[in-house]
Amino acid sequence: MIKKVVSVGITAAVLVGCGAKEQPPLADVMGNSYQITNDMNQSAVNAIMPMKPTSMQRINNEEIWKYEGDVCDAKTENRTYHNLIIKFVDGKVKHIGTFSCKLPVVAEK
Amino acid sequence: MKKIVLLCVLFLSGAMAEPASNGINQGNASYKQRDVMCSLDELFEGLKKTLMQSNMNVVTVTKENGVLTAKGDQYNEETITEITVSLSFKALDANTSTVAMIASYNVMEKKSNTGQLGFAGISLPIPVPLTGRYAMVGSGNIDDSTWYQGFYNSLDKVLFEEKMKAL
Repeated sequence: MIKKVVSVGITAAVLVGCGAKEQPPLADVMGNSYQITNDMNQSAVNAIMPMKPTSMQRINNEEIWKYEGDVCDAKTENRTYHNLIIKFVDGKVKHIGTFSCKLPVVAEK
Repeated sequence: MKKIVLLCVLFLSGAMAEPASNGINQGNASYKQRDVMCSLDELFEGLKKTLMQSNMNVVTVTKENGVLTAKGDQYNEETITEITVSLSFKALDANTSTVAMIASYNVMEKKSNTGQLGFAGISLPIPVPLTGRYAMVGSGNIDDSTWYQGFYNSLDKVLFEEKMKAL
């Protein structure tokens, strides 16, 4: 029993440790967003995207899906903030827009 | 001979002239100012939303004069850092506006009877995440371009989201 608990604990620690270094799927979200076209339905968009939206907002027949977060460049260690918004009207893609900016880094004093 | 002397004088006067200022990081600090592609109304709403998302309270608003001031406090274990921002904005044309910001801080000890100037390490309270923390002592103006870049990034993000909603 103790062995089992210890092995599960070690496996979890290894997985968490590796996960921390892994790039979040947001980079893929931004890349895959170019496959989305107007009039595509929500299930088709879900199939293209590797993660669920960060937030969803529904007003009447309009729905806004937002994917946001930051991605760290492994080489330069620069972080870039991404914000992708998909606007559905009657369940079909009407508009898609992206906003990205380089995140400023404060020099520790 | 006269020609040579004249040429020498012209050359020396040119060489001794001060280099042209580019206006960056020299007091008037162009990083504190930004032109944005939106109407004055959109900018005004965007500024208010950015400040609110940054946990800052709008203190005074005079839209007609294009002035907006806001204050926000950050609490550490031993200090309170009060940040004050003053924004001035105006329309350049129907679809372009300009905004300029001056920010200052005041670090206070929580124990008011000590009478000492406080020290605080704060992170900028903006919706767009920012890496690192500022070490602030006493009070003064914030003259770090990174701070302003962070604020304007947040404003750009808010304006983008509002545009998308309005489509």
